Formats: sequence, structure tokens, C-alpha cells
Amino acid sequence: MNTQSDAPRERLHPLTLMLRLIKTVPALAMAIIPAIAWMSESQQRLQTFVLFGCMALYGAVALPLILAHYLRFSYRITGKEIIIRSGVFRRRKRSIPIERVQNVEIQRTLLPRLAGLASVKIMTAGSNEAEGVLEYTSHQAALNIRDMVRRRDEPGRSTAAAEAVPSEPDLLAAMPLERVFLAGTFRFSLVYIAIIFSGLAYVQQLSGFTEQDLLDWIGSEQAETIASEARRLGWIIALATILITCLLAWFTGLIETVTRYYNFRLRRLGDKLVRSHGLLTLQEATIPLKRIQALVVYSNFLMRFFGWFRLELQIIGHDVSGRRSRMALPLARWHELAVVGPHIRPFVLPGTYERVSKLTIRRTFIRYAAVFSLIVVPVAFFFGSWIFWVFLVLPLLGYLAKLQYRNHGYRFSDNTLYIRRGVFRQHIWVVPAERFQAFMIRGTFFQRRLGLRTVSVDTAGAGYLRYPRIVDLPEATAHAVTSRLYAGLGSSVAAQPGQGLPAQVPASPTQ
Amino acid sequence: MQPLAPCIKQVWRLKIGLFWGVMLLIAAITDSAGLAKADRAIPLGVITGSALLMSILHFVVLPNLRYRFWRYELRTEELALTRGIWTRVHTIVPLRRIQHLDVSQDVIERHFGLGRLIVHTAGSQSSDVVLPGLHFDEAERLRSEVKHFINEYAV
Repeated sequence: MNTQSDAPRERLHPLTLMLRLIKTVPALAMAIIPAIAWMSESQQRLQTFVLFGCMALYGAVALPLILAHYLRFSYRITGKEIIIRSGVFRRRKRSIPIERVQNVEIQRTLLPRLAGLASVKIMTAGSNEAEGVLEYTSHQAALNIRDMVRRRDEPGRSTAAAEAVPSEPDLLAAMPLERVFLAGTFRFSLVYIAIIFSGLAYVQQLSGFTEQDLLDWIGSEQAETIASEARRLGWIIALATILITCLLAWFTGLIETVTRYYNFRLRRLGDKLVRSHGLLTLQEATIPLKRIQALVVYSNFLMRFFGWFRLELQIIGHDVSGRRSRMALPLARWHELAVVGPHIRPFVLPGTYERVSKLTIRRTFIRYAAVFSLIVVPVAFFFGSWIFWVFLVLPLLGYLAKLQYRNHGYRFSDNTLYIRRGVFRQHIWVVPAERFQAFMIRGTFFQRRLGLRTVSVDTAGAGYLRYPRIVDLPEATAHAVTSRLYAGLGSSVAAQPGQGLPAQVPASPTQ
Repeated sequence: MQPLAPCIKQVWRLKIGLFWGVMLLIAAITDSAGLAKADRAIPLGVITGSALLMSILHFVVLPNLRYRFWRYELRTEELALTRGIWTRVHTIVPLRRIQHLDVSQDVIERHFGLGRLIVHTAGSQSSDVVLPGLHFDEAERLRSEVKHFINEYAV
């Protein structure tokens, strides 16, 4: 594929038609089944009528649409750009210059995978969403597109030099199956439980199965005995329900993790990271190193207790809240992090951190106690004042506040800012100075009374709730730290001229 | 550091006045809806009265306080801002991190000959830093100075 502008126009793989058709079946079923289920037996003729009506409508509208969409969709890849024509009612022609393509994601969900197909997402610097989606092409075609983007040289390099880029990436990390399982055991997800229960409720509604049916099935006498037993064992049953829910949540979290991170591999290819994983759905993402703004070492208290950590990336332009796209290592030992992490961006995790003011313990405790009282006082209003005994846990909150203080710290060395924060969920941010965007010193009314400030450094692609900040520094220290950080930005940008302003600006040729 | 142009207080006052005007109207309607009822949960005029009190407080006090704590300075390599009554925020935006700049002006600001400078960075919380209450010429001057710096730096 060279610079021929008359490269052939290609269509998606013909099996796409079938896959799209299959995809619509659940929607069709959702429409038809309730309509039928809510009609009684006597309305048999109406039932058939509705059924055939739906089918006819579906055949007349959905099928031609799928076909038209397929026929109208074509893509062409020249040496310079990817041109996608699409749209049934409104034609659209989109050309994506190859040098603007940052990332090609190949995703293979189960069915397309069985059919030998893949979907290709083409990401550019300008937008957070995929600029072009090819759903589906043959797997080989997907790989070709990916390789072509990989081979694309940095602007200015000759094509000969581009060939020299290694096609076999260095393996940074691979997760054996036991490790993936272990990663799953640290997951605890209530989301899937909610989905299962709402699914069951839906099925129950459709099937018309009621509690009375259940009683009839058991037999009224036996039901009576069961009910009286249940009343006697009320607490135990409640506890068992909670326990089973927890177990289910834990189990679904495990399954979800294993299917997602099965055969997890992180590789480095030149100036890009390549991440691939999946059991049923295979995913492969390419992340340019220069898009990575910060690294985050995450652990909850259970993981930390067993000595496990997780490495995430803060990537510019990626979905801020989406944890999936940020994952770099789902589960790793400390020393493994220390080996793999620096391949992404050189850093040395500090052994000790500089502490913030001790007054933060007082502030944290007051905050905890206030929140606690806000919960307890209304409860006491309804249940009687005996509930005030729970204030005996206040010393525990005090201890928690102290733990927060001990776990919070910062260090700025080798032009890298490290901030550790959190007890139950701990984040260690690793923010390179060349990624600093702006600096903020904040002081609330209460903080100012105690002479404290919060220092935060803004980076691209940071979250809005969890972002690196140093809370409750003495005012003078806050200003000193900020000017050190600011000087760090200056020297790091001066040291790497290529990493200055343009490195942060997504390099689009139109700018 | 420099304070804002004093007439920004008038702009804020006008905007607060507009907001509270609508609020007072709603309060008055709510109150008068209860006129006919004999058993009122809230005595007549309490809602309107408290709204009136709040609006006066807001109208008189807030613009002065806001103005008192707003400071800005364009230094050789960075823009520094300080603001906030309850939470004092001090922001430093390195000029080399600025992606682009806007000077804007709404109807009320135009009447007073004021403008605002909006600075965009690639950051998350500081993706657009707003500096209001500048004389329009001053805003333009700041913009061209920052622009000049960025162009110099890029070369």
C-alpha cells in the first residue's frame, strides 16, 4: 500500500450483514415477547396477528436498512489517508490523514471472532471518540491497517527508516492465568448482581409467574412451616442473604475479570505501547507513549495487605472515567511495577515521602465525625436515642484520620512528582514535570484559619474527583513546593526541546 | 498584583439583580398562591421576605467581597490569578502551556466597556481559566502579550 491515490475502494466483509442481523434479534425479541406475553390465551388470533405484524415490519424496514447501510459503506486506504464513505440518508465522506491517526484499536467480540472478523477503531488526536469505525473487516485486513499505521514514520523520517522500526514488539509484561484469576479475586462488583436481578424480574414479569404459583407448587402446608421457620430464623436468613449476595458479587467480579484480562500482554513497539487481552472478546490497543500524561499505582487495602498493586495510565484524550482504557497492569508485585513502569516513563518510586502538616489529622477527624453525625442523628430521630451509643466508634474514626495522614505524602525528585494518598483505596501518582499544565494553591476558610493550603498540579486527561493534590500543607511550604514544581517544569521543558509546547498540543497538520 | 476594573462590581450587581429579580417573582407567586388558604404552613410573606433579604445581602455584599479578593498579574512567563471569598484559589498558568486565548464580552460587559480574557490549556481543571473585569483595551493588550510570548516560544 503505497502512495497510489487510486487504491481500491473496499467494502466491509460480507459476513457483516449476518452479524448485524443477529445483533438486531434481541431488540426484536424485546419488542415481540412482551406484546405476546401480556395477551391471554383466548387472544390467540390477535397474538398471531401481532407476531406476523412485527415480523413484516421488521422485514420491510430493518432488513433493507441493514443492506443499504452495508452497500453504502466503503473505505479506501491510500498511503496518505483513510477515506470512509458512509450513510444511507445523509452521505458522509470522511478522510482521516494517516499521520493524524494516533491509535488503532482492534476489537474482536465472540461472534465476529468465530467468523474470522474484527472491528477496527481509528482514533485521532483531535477527538476522544473513534474517528472512524470499520465494523467488520476480515481479521487480516484489520491487521494490515494496524501495521500500516505502525509503519507510518514520524513526520520527516524517510520510508526507508520507517522499515527499520521493529515489527516484533518487546514484551513488557504478560499475565499467566493464575495471575488473572488472582486479579479477579480482588474485584468485587455489585453491578452484575443488579443486572442479574433486574433480568430475573423481567423474566418473571414475562412468564407471568407469581408468588402464588410458588406457594401452590410448594403446597400451602409446607409453605406455612417454612414461613414460621423463617420468622424464627429472621436474622440468620438476613445474614445469609447478604453473604450470598457478597459471594455472588465476588464471583461475578472474578468471572468478568478473567474474561476480560485473559492472556493479558503489554508490549512496547518503538514509541508505542501495545496492550492485548481477552477470552471471548479479543482487544488490542496501541497507545502512543507521548499521549501518556501520568502513571497511577493503585491498590486497595486488601491488595496492599497481600502485596499486590495495579498500574494505570492517564492518557490524554481518553475517556477520563473509563478504567478499562487506562489499565497498564491489572495486578503486579511492587518490584514488577518498578521494572515495567520505567519502560513507559522513567521513574523510581520513592521509599519515603514528605509529610503534610499534622493538623490534617484534626481536619480529617472533624470531617469524618461530621459526616458520621449527619447519618446517625436522623436515624436516632426515628429509632430512639439508644443509637447514640454508636458514637463510641469515634476513636476509631480518629485512628482512621491518623492513617490518612500517614498514607498521604509527596516527593519531587528527578523532575517527577510523586503523590501518595488514601487508605482504603490508595493512589500513587507519578507525574512527570514536563506534563504539568497549571498550578493551583487552594485554601478553604477552615484551612486558612489553620494556615494550611492544598497544592494541586493540573495535567491533561486527569479525573475530576481523583487527581493529584497535596492536601493541608503549611502555607509557606505550599508556596515553596509550588515554585519548586514550577522550576521543574521549566528545566524539563528546556532539557527536552521536543517535549515543550508542541508535545502537549495534539499535533494536527491543520494547526 | 493588580485588582480588576472597579466597574466590574456594577456588572456583577446587574447580573445578581437579574437573577434575584426572577427569584423574587417566583417567591411572590408562591406566596400569593397561598393567599386564599386559611391554614397556611408558612405565614404570608415569609418566602418573599426571606428572598428579599437574601437578594439585598447578595446585591450589596457579594460584589464588594468578590472584587476585594480578585487579583491578577501577567508576569514574564506566567499568568497568576487569585480569587475566592470562602475558598481562596491561587492559580499559576505557565504561558508556554497556553493552547489558545479568547477575549469575550457580553451585553452587560460591553455597556461598561469591559471584557474578559479566557485562557485555554490542555489541563483538566484549568482547561479554561477566565479572567473577568478587564477594561477591553487591557484585555486586548494582555492577549497580544501572551500571544507574543507563545509565538516567541514556539520559534
